[in-house]
Amino acid sequence: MASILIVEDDKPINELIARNLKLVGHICEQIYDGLQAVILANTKVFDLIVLDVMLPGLDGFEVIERISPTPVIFLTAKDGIGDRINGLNMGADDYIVKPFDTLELLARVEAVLRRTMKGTHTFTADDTTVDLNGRKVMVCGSVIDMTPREFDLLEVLICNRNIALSREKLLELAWGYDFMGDTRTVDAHIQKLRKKLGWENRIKTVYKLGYRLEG
Amino acid sequence: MKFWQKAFVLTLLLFVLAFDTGIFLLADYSYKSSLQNYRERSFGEHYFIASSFSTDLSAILKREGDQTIAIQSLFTSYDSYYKKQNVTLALLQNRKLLFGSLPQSVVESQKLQSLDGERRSLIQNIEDKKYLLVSGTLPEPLQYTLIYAYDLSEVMQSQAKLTQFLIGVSAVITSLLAFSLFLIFKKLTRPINELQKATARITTGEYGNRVPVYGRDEIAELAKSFNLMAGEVEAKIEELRLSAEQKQQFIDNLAHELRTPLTTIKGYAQYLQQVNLTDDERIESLNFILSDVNRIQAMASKLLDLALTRSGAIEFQEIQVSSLFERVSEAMKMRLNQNALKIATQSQLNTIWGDAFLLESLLCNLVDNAIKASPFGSTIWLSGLDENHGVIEVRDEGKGMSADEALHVTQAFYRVDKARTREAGGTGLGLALCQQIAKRHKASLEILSDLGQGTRIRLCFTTSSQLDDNTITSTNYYEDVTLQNNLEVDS
Repeated sequence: MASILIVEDDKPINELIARNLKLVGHICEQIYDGLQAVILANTKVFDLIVLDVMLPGLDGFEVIERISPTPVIFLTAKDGIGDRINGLNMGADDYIVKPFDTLELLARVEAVLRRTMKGTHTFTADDTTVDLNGRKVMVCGSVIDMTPREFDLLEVLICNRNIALSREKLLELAWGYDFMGDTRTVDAHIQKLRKKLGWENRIKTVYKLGYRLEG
Repeated sequence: MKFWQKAFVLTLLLFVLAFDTGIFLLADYSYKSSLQNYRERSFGEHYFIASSFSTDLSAILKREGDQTIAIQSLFTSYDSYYKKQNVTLALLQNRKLLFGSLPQSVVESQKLQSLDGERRSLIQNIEDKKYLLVSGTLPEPLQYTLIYAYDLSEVMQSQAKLTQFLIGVSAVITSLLAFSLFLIFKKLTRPINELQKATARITTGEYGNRVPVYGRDEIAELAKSFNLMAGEVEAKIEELRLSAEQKQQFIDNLAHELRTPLTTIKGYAQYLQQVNLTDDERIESLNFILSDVNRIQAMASKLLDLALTRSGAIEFQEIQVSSLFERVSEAMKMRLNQNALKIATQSQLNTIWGDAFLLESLLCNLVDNAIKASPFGSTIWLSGLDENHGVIEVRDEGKGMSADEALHVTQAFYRVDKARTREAGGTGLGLALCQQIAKRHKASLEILSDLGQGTRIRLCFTTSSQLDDNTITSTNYYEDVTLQNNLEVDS
């Protein structure tokens, strides 16, 4: 869980980002122009800022120069290589080009947060606690044995919780692009996870799509 | 070979040829005339010697005794006397050598035989020396011929000296000339060199290069023309660069404008697909999607309009300004009423020459912008003014914009107030389209605005194809204004 500042002048997009980040358990503040962003970022501490480049008032590059060091992900419609390099040189931690994929946004946010946030990274639901840093799962205080692949799948589900993921997407995220397996492999691993963690009701099957971890 | 080298070599060659030929002819002439002098002198000497010798000889011949010895001693005394003056003598009797040290073959040769008693002269090499030979018979009845040979060695020597001297002079003058020609040609062709260098620099892309212009000769003219051409090229390149930049800017902006609604559509579609939502959330998300689909649709149609106005055929016709204003007011009626805005139209112009459909679309766009900027309940003024070739003006009492904004406002996708115009459904292409339409009418779009002072946008026709006499008479004009005002303000 992290506190995230979203600076984006287009209201629907700002709202979209906020909703998706809230779904996976983050706290969000929404700002629509550059000046406000600078004021807020200098009075409050955020774990991450998702910052649009083209903003009224001050643009994203100007904002980043005027705030105390905070991890920043740039969000922009410009995908010129020069813009990317400029953004990264300015001290941005990552760079997302519109139109972006929700899952891609979440994955990048997660990656930056894991890099920059110290301390334990855990997820708790029912009697189950998952330690994402230590790659350990405890159910009712006792450690559960899991294969690395099962843990990868669990991690993907936790990082994208409340969002339905297709079997193909799960394969891509947990197994990697080069895995040649069948989508039934996913079903088998999901069954194992449900059984081991007692999450029969938490990991929902979404009709005609895939699975969703609710929590 | 470079031009100056060619000119240098050719000039030098020509000079050397002319100068040396002259010198040679001069030397030759002087040699020949001095030989002539010697010949005349020798004839004189021969005559003198021959007459003196014949007198002495006649005296000997009158005497008795051995005449041969006496003749020989006489000849020897003459010969030895003249030896001192570089002269050798020979005496012949009946064409046979009698006395003398000259070779027999020479003195007895046919060339020296005189048939009619005339004296003859000949230049002959004898034992590596050149002699001038003069032969002449002694007076009758003596059967003797006296040959006089003058040694020309000294003449030859002085001639050789003169030749040497002339060669020396020629060499010195030629080298002096070569040196000064070199300097002159170098200097004369320097502007050409500079032109050539400037051309090379321009070829490598330094379009700002110019050449200095010296004097008023052909090369200076060429340099001037060259500078003129370079200026043209620079201006054209700059124009191309600007146009390319604008196009790139347009494409960048278009990409940005397309990506923003696409982000919303894609994001909310995924959101609907993947997340468990309440009905309210579902409806809200769908509204976001629909509104951005509409935005893309509006943009597509505006882009199409832009493309059509740029390249499509336009129909020029005479348009009644009052009816044009009426149609615009009618078209914008609903939008005006929504914001409780009034429109006041007035026209000093009777007709204008243009495309009715395009001008209507242009005015609708301008009025639409005015509506977006105007405060609730204010008035928008639509007027035709009789200035220059005619001006149509749209004025509002809205919030206006800064000079910098006014400068950029006709660029595609430029928005003065980004968030607001998007909510109002703007595409950022309206004024770009207006600009395009104005351009097709050879008219200019002037934007006069100040923050808080409202905006005046003037469509100024510049083409003289506008009718000359299209002014409504002043009385009519005022009646018209009041009429229009009443009519429109009431509505």
